[in-house]
Amino acid sequence: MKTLVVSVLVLLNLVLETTLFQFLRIGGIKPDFVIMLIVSYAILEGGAFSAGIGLTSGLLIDILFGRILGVNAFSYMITGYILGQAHENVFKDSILPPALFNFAAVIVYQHIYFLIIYLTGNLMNEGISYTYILFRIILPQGIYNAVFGAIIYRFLLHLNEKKFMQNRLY
Amino acid sequence: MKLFNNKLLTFVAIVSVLMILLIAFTAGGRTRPTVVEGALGTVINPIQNIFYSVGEFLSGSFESLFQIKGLKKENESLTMEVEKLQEENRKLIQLASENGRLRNMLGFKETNEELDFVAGANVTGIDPGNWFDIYTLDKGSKDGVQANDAVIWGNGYLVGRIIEVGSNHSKFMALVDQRSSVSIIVDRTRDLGIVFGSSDNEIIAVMPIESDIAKGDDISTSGYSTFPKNLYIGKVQSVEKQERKLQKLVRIKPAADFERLEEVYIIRGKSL
Repeated sequence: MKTLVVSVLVLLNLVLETTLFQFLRIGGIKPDFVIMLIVSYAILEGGAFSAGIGLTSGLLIDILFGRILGVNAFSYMITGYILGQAHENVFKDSILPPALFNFAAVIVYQHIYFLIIYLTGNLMNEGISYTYILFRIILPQGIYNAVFGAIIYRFLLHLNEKKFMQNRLY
Repeated sequence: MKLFNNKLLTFVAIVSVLMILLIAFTAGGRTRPTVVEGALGTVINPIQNIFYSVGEFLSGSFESLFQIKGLKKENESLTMEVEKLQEENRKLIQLASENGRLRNMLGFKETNEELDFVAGANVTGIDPGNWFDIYTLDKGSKDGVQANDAVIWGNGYLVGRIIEVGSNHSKFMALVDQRSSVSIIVDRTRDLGIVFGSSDNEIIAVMPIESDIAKGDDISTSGYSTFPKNLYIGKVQSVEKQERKLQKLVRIKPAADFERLEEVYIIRGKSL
């Protein structure tokens, strides 16, 4: 049941993120809901779940929107795996870990992403530099994500405590 | 081997290698979706369409709630503006007819007759990331759309270029996408240049240092790239002189509003 519910969440999130959530942009920056899912399930369930969510969401986004296949899938999966390592050492009831982890996850994800884009030669612009991206995209998105991520985490925590979520597979 | 005892790590490592291979194979960019992508796009596109319209509706109704206060004042200023615009319009019609006569006299071709209107399309989704600006449309190869067609908005404002076509959907890269580059001409001085997208709904042009470009100049496409000639792009917002690089960095505000794209037209230059 858990896997099923999470799969539905991943698909629902993809549809909403490309449509409804586009209207959440502040100054062109939108919080990343895939990272919120990854962080929440990294804390609640550990690396297997978060890496899996990252891989499927990333692959779907790549297929639907990306020009290069695998960039999002790779970045999200690695981010999920790294964050999943903290699973056993985190208080699950506090609101601080999801906020901090969201910030960290955005930074990890965007750096992997930047590195791939940079190495494959897809970043070819005069006005774009690393500092520009860091201050205009990565840090604002990190803060934005930390705020939203904490709220989403509370919701997913309650969902996770429901009885039907106890069974892992069906 | 102790390393392989950790199943998850092994799985992540194997998938990572696969993904890196996938990135390497597709890094050059693609214009046609594969069978799987096509099928996925066909299924998900109509669903996206519904949610996108719901979002448009919600943000629209929120805005109107806040606007009721200033409506009366706005009405007055709008009436004044309408009068001003009507006056301006009359002048413009005269200018246009004069322009037409002069054109005919000189034997120039009418520019717009060289354009093929392929289809009108609705935007169904926007790339969820913060890096690039890829939009999906609900028209595809069935409607005659081809890769590299130009996408325009409203009064002929250029918004982007089709990069991928499925049977009933297509993707276009907006002008403001970091990877987009377009050859342009400055309407007043006839200077040529190239504009690139940037990540905050602004486009940047690099012009030679001797070009006489100033704030407020109008920018159009030049016809040297895949785009048809004379499509309006936007107004110059600021010019920054870079003595050391012997160039001017020009920031341009696009005429199209990329946060509110709903209906767009796909056009193509007539092949000779």
